[in-house]
Amino acid sequence: MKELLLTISLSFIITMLWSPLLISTLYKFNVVRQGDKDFSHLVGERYLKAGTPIMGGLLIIVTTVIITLVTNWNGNTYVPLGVFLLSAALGGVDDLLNIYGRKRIVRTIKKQIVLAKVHKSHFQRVILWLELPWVGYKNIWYALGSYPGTGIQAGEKIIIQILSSLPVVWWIYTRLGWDSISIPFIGLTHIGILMPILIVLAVIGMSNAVNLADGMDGLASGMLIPAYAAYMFIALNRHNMPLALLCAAVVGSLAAYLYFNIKPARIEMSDVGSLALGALLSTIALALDAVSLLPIIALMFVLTVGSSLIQAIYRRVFGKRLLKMAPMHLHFQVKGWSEEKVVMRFWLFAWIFSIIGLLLSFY
Amino acid sequence: MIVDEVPKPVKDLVHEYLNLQINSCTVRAPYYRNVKRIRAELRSLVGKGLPSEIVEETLIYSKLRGFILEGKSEEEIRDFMILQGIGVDCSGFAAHIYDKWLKSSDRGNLVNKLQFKETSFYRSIIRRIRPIENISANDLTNEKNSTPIKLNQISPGDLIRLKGVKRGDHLAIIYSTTRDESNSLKQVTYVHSSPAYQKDNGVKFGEIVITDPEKDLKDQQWREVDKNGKCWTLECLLRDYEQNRNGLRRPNFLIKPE
Repeated sequence: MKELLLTISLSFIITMLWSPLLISTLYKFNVVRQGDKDFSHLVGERYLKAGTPIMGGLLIIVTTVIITLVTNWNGNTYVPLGVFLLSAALGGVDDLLNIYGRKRIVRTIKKQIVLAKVHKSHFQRVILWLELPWVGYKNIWYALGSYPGTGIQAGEKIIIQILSSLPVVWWIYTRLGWDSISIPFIGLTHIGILMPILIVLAVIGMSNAVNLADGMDGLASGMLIPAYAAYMFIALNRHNMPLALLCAAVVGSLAAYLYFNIKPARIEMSDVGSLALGALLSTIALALDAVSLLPIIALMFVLTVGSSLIQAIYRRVFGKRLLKMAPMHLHFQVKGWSEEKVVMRFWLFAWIFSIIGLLLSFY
Repeated sequence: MIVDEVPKPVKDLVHEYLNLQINSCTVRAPYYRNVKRIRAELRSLVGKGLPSEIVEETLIYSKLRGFILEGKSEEEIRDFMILQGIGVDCSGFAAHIYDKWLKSSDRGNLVNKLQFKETSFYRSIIRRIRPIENISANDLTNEKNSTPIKLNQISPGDLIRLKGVKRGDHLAIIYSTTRDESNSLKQVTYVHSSPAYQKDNGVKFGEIVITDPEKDLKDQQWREVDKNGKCWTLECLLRDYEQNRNGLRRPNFLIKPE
């Protein structure tokens, strides 16, 4: 317990100390929310936040990685940290492309086929035919509402996230040989070959859930603290000190980051932080054999991604809105709740569900 | 004078389109047509929404775009709606009107009453799930689903087939007829979502004063004019008149069986 509190404190202090440096560096290199280029310009309130530094997730990532490398680098942490950094790299590239990238061109399948038939170069025709499945795959995502923009496209992101989750699959399923999960009140449940699928879905799902929840000042970070705190105590209870210390480092760093992220935010996490923290949370849950508690502990994130998915399907199938806006936090904002009210109530429920999840971990 | 009007539920729906309540301002639904052929979108964003859906979408978009509705005039709000692609096209408006008519008289849904040209199984499923978006002006006015009638046979619910401003099909629905005691037709009022009349587009009434019941509809006095006195609806009627057999038609689904 003493080590956990020390780690939280150390992480908090280090993050607080170098935050001004990162914020000023991001301002200097104009790594800020772009009002006209950013894909999230669709949301009016986000449009007003143009000029706020993004990539604030680096505060948490760098602090956590340094503390873990120095004090907690062992067989229990190198895979979570690896997935953490891979997801952060994906998010970081996406953030930078959103600022500096060119708008992507959406080529339809029909146009691709026409080009493949009429291009004067035989070599190019072959390339165009070979590219056809990839163009088809991208068009499916565009049909589902993926906004082209300048960053990494949704279909591309999913593939990279699947690849990022493969180290976790190797670690949990192959190296440790786990093919069962513990479910409260039921016990160990054998799932066999479904384990790799569960691992991939958990990592991708949580990554994108946290990314979607990062839509208001302090929302994602405020909800991640109780989730990581819950897993910290679960790890402590299950005598997995390395993972408990890893969670502690994240908790301390998140708390310091939240100081700068509450409204009006001086810095935003953006994809570099949200993708990484979501992937890390699910990896820790899997490593502790507590993935069945993840939908409860991180229920607010699950509801966020679920609301987006249901809304997307419903509006495309029936042509009407189920919620006023998705994700869920925007629905309440459109209903008339202030941003502060939405954020604080979501924090409250995040703490409640984390405590419930922690309680269930004893069964 | 004997005035014959559409049924009350239909009148109420027309009234809703003409009087959208957007933040204590009364706004007439503007015209919007899905020229970009966007698929799988909210029907209020492709010109096929109900009044409540159009109002909801306007309120949501006003928050999204940071457009403050307080203190805005009807014209400013309509301009905002047109910019965001929120409105209703002629076929969407007519489809909702006829659908309401049939449902209020317990005669089922509009999509079940229409005959469509042969399409794929997939398209027929889509039409069942999203009927209003898949009913065009041509579907409502073609020979399969409507029958030509003479001027003196006109009654509420009949339609006027027109050739649109940009050559697409267009239609107007007869809202009311006025006859004298000798049953001579005196005036016809129609309603449609008009793409013409520039900023004055959208759902609006038009009147035709019957100067000579023996003559054709196109030869009567049309009162729906713009600032320059031009009646665009009449021009749509006259466009390709003989070729397209533009004029009065009665929807087959409103013809009661003998």
